Amino acid sequence: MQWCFGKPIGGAIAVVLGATSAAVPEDGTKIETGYNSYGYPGLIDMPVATSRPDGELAFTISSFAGQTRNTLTFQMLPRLSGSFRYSVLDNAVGGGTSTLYDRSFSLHYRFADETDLRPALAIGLNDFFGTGIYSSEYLVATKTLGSSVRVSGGIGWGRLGGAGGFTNPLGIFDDRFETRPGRDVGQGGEVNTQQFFRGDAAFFGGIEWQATDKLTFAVEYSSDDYPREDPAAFTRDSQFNFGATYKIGPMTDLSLRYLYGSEFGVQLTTALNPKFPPNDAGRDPAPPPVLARGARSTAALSWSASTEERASLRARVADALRSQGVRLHGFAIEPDSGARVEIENLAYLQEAQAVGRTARVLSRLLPASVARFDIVMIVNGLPVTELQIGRADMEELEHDLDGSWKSFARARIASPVSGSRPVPDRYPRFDWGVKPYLSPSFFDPDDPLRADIGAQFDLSYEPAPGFEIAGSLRQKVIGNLDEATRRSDSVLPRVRSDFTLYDREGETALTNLTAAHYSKPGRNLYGRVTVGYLERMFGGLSSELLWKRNDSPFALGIEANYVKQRDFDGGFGLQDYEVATGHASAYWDMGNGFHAQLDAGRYLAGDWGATIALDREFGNGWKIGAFATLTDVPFDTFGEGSFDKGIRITVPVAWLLGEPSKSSVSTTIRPILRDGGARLGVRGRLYERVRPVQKPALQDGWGRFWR
Amino acid sequence: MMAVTKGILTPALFAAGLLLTGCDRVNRVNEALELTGTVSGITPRPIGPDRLRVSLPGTGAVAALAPIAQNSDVTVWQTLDGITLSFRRGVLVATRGLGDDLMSADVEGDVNLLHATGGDGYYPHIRSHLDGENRTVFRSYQCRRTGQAPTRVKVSDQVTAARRIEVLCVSRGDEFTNIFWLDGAGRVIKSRQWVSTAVQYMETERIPR
Repeated sequence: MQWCFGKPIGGAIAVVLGATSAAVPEDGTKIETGYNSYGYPGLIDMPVATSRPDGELAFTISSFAGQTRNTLTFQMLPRLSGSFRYSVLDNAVGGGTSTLYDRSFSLHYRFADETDLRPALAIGLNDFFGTGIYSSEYLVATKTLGSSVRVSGGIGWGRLGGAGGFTNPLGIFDDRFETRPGRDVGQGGEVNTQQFFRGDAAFFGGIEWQATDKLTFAVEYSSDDYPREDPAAFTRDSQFNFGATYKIGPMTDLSLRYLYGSEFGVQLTTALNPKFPPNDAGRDPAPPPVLARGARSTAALSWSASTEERASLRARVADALRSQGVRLHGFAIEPDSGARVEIENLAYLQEAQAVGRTARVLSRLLPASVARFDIVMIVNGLPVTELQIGRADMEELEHDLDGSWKSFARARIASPVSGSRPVPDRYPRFDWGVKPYLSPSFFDPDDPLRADIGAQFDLSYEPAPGFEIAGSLRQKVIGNLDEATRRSDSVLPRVRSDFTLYDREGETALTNLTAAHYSKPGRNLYGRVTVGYLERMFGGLSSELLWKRNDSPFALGIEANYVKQRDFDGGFGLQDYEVATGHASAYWDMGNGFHAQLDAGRYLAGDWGATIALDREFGNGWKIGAFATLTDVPFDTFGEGSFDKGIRITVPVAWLLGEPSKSSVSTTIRPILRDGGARLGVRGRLYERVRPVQKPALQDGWGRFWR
Repeated sequence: MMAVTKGILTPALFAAGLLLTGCDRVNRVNEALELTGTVSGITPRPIGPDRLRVSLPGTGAVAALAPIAQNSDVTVWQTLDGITLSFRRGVLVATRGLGDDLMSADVEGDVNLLHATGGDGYYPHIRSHLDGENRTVFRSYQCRRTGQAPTRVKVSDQVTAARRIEVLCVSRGDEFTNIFWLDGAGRVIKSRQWVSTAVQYMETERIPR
């Protein structure tokens, strides 16, 4: 269940699953590693020690004997993968009526690579949160024999120590290892470290044979004893499983299995890798070439600096930039030194590409005596970054082999001291648009996947630099979110858990209507004040201050809000509940695409706590991350899940289409949405507006400067 | 090939005096290119009367290009639909708008071989492209002349005398063979040159004025 405050069109991800090309495995193996029925690297039910290629995002659906597992697995590091699984267990013990719905996580870590003598080695944890139906741990070794055969063997605990189990060998260190304590399930969601590697252990193993490029056979000895499923759902007659996997697409596999001597099973796996866009580096139209002074054109570039000529030059620059997806915001020219040109990037995911195209346009239009371009990047009317680019460098490096790095090294990049000086026709500005939206809802036991589709009307009005009035109205066209009948049983203020009421009553809803003011009170300080209907469920006042140096990987922010809950119908009415909420935030760009964020403060239900979030951001704009919030709400009071947590995925439209676009599609998947640890959703938070325009991000994207 | 679509058929274009027709678009999936509409290809403003016919045998696309910029010894040529090709004295150094573009290339050795006194030894040839995460990736090749012979070649339906030079470039796990035809004045009048893995080879032919 989730509520999207961004652009919730998650379904588009599915469109490109399997569309990217396959990657060479990073651990150097010749035989491709498969996904097992639990969706992590493995044979049929059992694990293997090898990994999938770094960055791969895979979706697996497997089914046998009424046991269906849907798993999303991300190879987050070359050695580490994480899985989120939603299972439907028919006739399993503990299912109450007859069907059990379960959400679980897994981690797989390869800690040693295969060598000539040694096998690859990996360790794994399954279902360490919550009810622990799949709770198990394992240690596994995998060795390749020849060019097409691979054997794996290991030892499992928990569920993987159930069949053929023996007394835990770790008992030699401490007798406590010999018994696996019962799980205090509570509301689920707690990490059950006290169970790790305890209780009986058992051996498992298997062989894979890559018969052809597309066909793989596997046989395994399983140590999984299916404690809840056998005999309620099926009977195990044997611990041997047999499977065949056929590659039906470059990134899509279909597997058939004969399991436990009694059941047939099927599995479909499809994957994509954000590192490999379907359109290579994009089909952007070519940029205008640099016009070298002295070539033939100095006559065209001479001018008399009269007022009329300045205005006409400014208009020509604005036109030329507009066709390149860049809006001219300010323009000042000193004929014998330099030009200061303020721009807003409307088209490119990488700001460096907007800078490069602007510098090219300026080289074509400005008088030959202008030797330097000062390009100022404007965000929400604020000058965030100034780049000084020598005109001679543009001419010299356009066709230089190492022009990308050299042009970055020669550019001076800093936070500007002076304010913006907008051109006369920039403000006021009115904008509007209509676009489709898709709002999904996951994991309601009555119907695990629901969605609404409709039209969203956006409008914005900018009366002056830094001021913006913006609103969005959604009209549902078709969908079944209103069929959800489960009502919140929360004992906390129902700040999020009434989402079904919002869906049901708000077929036409004002999602937000705000007036905002953005400011830059210091060279490295950014401010925001927003008032109005901030999000679908809350309205009020929100204020924020961010400290972010242009060249620093660290940033600090503080946010204070006073909000009232909105009516369910999406109109202008407000309910009685009101709360003061706010956070202090620390941001860290860890390098190699990893970003961490810590927010500590008071949440919407009045609870105090902190959120930790970790995202991996690819150079093409893909983001995959996870977050968790712990507050002073006791787990029992929070309800099912114990605390708020989830994963989030952002897919840039430019990656999907191969065309320049700043838009992206985001979705957040929470096992369950409840009221503890709920943060206000407000548009225009400063960090993600400022960061892409600053030096580290410009450097990461500088490959596109000359594109 | 692609029909002329609206927005392209503007008077300004005809005023530009290009002898280009609807088939001067290299990109065959042009409709898909206009999904976002954020950036438009620039209108070509030719700086000279020369034209270049370019085909991509890998996709079957053909286009005529006009020169639009000159920067030292590099000439930038452009199609109607926002694709540019840059040549240093006849040797390809960059493409834009093809997707898997050649971002830059060091072709000093090739230029020496074609236009100066290059011998039969190996010389370096370096190319760069962007990977899927927008990082610049360099690839270094060792090249040498593998053939040189006087021949007669058909360029734009006219048979002329030419010198044919064949160059083999090898990198680990990768190689390509470029072929150049030079006229009596030493200009490249026809060529086959490697672009990139996705685009493959490109064939060029000077259209006489």
